[in-house]
Order: sequence, then structure tokens, then C-alpha cells
Amino acid sequence: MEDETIVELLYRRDEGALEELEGKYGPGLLRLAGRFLKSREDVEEAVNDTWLAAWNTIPPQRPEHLFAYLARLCRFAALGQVDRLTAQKRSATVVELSGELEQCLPDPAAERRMEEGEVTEAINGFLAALDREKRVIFLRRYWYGDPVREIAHRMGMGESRVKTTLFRLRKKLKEHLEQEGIFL
Amino acid sequence: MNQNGMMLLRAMNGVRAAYIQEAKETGKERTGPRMRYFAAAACLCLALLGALRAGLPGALGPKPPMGPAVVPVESEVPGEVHAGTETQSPDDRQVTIRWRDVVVNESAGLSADATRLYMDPALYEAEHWDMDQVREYFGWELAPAYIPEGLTGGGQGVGLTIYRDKATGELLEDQAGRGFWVDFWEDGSPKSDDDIVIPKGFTVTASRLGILHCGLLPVEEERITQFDRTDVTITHASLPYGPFDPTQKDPSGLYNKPAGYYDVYVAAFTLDGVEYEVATQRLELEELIKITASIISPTEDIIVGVGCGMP
Repeated sequence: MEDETIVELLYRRDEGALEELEGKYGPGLLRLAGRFLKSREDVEEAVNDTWLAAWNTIPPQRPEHLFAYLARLCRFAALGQVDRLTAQKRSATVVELSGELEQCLPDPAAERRMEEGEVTEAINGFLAALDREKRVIFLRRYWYGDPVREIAHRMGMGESRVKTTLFRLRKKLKEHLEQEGIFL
Repeated sequence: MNQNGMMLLRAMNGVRAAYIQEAKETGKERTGPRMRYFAAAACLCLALLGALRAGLPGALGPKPPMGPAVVPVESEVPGEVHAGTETQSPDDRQVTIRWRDVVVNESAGLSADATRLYMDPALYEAEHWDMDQVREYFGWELAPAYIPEGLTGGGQGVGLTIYRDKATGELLEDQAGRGFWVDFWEDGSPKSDDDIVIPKGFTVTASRLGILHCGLLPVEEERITQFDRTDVTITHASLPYGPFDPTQKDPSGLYNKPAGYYDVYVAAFTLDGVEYEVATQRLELEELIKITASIISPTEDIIVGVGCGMP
């Protein structure tokens, strides 16, 4: 079923929309949440939260990119759960990703602390300046949480090239955040 | 955990939807379509659960065309180490498998009635055996000498819950299993690492009393493949996975058109008085053959598909 039709069903409060969403996007979202959470129950809960949030927000929202909209809800729910987990229960991927991104942060002696929304805007500005290939590599790693080998396969390149690209992009992001005067 | 890195990770949630979509649509997916547990896979899960109940992760399934088969070669080695004496430590022999000798039986699909017997605690006594007891009982730890690259036992050993008749002390159930998967959930159950929910991997199940054959429907006439003079029954089924298109039917007409199919292979044999079943899921037939051959004749050096001029 087309996304527009599913959205229409949601607008009509037709619960069949949830079945359609689950059939069409459930696997992808389970996979996404599974990148950040290691317990199957937590993953399923994050995805269920996503369906509930979609039901509660469409309408009034009418997302242009339905998958991206759902994936964002799902990622938000998954990371919310990560915050509630004890250190031992956190996924190794989250620890790894947050460690890599930590390197992007400028010296904490910088001028001012920024709100999360401002950081998001700065990241959007950074992404806008990248070419498509680099942007996809960066997002597949830090938005979708993909392992390097999977990104290499997706992009048809070697793992070492992906690692090098990510290293340069992190450096570049750090410079960009510095220019924006950001420290967290 | 790095709090600031975590904050960045969270802040990225607000990245423009167009970029998220772009990253989804660019490049090739690792495998085909998405996955979703197919209802009938419950049976396979039961097989796995059986293994899990025995204290190990387990599951099944792999792939198909009639083709290869295994004929171990240097088989006449006296005192050869069978899956009986210890953990399988590979020896330095080479086993050659000739595809022309391999016979694969084609199953119609999953069996749906493989639920384990309920053992009433009033009549039967459950007893958990640890790895040492399993090793003593079966002679090894159910870890084959050959394990396909990328698969692991998930750090979990093998265990087993046996059942005895309280009145007589007779051992009634002794099925043990061990799973090797591409990834694991924290509870030790197998986890897929790509878009198809069905995880890649295999299980080894063993029993001296007889395996509860769960999984694939029996074939009408079973054909045998010889592995080093051991009769092995290899069975294959191609199973559908979702999402299922409600507007179209699968060619069988039994269910809606699936996103794709995955292969399950099962090799069943008896060795030193122990029944074994090796079940692979989303692995090539060649891998099933190598795993099975390495149990029968423990070695990591297995060649499948001998070509021209070779025996």
C-alpha cells in the first residue's frame, strides 16, 4: 500500500493503517531499534511505542517521508530506553557510537553550552554541505547505527575506505561545531 | 557511556527527514526484502526452544538445489575420532566431499506438530545437566570442528534438562542442543544481523534416546547420503518470509505472496549410538555438508565440490 494511502487511513482513524505500517515498515524499524537495544523485549517495546506515537501524531502531522518519520520516532523511543538502562544492559553499539561522536566535540573551554535543538541545526548545516555519498555514510553509521562492514557493502566500497571517510567526517564535524561555538 | 557523545547521538534524531530517506534509499541493502517471523516458523522456533530449554541457543534453517553431497575421503583411519570422545578438536586430515554423491530430499515445509511433551512434575523429575555432564554423556560439547565464518556460540555453552520417571528413575528425555548464530539477543536467543528477521546460523541437536524430529515435514521416500560410511539424511525446504502482500497469492495459493524465501537444511544421522540433527538456516548447502562432515570426521579441512579428474 502506498504511503499516502496509509496516511489517509490514519486520518480516518482506521486501525487497519497500523497493520499496514507494521507489515511495510515493522521489519526495518525492528532492525533500527535493534542497533541501539540488545534486548528483544526492549526492541519490540520501542517499535510498539512508534506505532502509538504515529497513531497519536498523524493527524495532525502529514509526513512527506513516512519511513523517515516513523524511523525518527523509533530511534527516539529506542534512545529513550537506552537512557533508562543500566550500564551493563546498554548495547555495545550505543557505547561505540557515542564514543566515536565524543571525538567530534570541541574543547569544553568553548564559549557557550547549546541546547539540543541548536546542535541538531548545526548538524543539519554540516550534512547539507556534504556530498551525497559522504552524507549517506555518516548517517548510516550515526543515525542508523550500521556496522562499518554493512556500510561498505551498501556503498560498494572497502571497509577501510568507510573507516577513513568516517574519521575525516568526524574531524570535519568537530571543526563545524567549533565554528558554531558548540560544546556540550 | 559517553554522555556528550550520547547527546550528539540524540541530537541527530532531528536530522532532516529527506536525509534520513536518502540514506535509506542509497546503495544496496545487504540482503533482499524485510523480514518478519512467518507463523509457521513457530515450529523451527520450537526446535530452538527445545535447545534453549536445554540451556543453549538454537534454531534452524538453510538452502537448496539438489547438488552436492559429502563423501569424506580419507575415511579408513583407524581410531578415527568420532563425535564421541571429547570436544571436537580438529585433526589434520582432509575430507573431500563429492557433490555428485550428495542427495537432498525436498520437504514440503515445516511441521506444525512438534510441540514437546508436557512432563507432569507430579510424575516426572527434571534435572539440569551442565556442560561437564553433557560432555560425559555425549562425549563432546556439541561444537563441531567446522563452524562457518561469522557464526559463534554466543558465549553460551551447552546445557540440558533431562527428565526421569519418578517411580522408576528411568531416563525419558535427554535431548540437548547448541546453536551457532550470526548474532544473539541478550537472552542468548539468535538474532538476525540484516533486514531479514530469520537469523543465519545452525543448531546441533543430540539425543541417545531419540530426537523429537521437529522442523521439516517428512518426505515420502528418504534418500541417504554417505558421509564416511555414516548414513545421513539431508532434507531441504524453502520457506517464505514476510512481509506478505495481501493483494497477491504465493504460487502454492496457501498464503499471500511473501517478500522472499529462505533455505532450511537438516542433516540427520546416528553416530556412536547418538542421534544427531544439524539444522541450518539461511546457509548454503555446502556449509551444512561441511558442518556435518566435521562432526562425523572431525577436521576443519573439508573440500566440497571436487572437479575434473578428481574422485
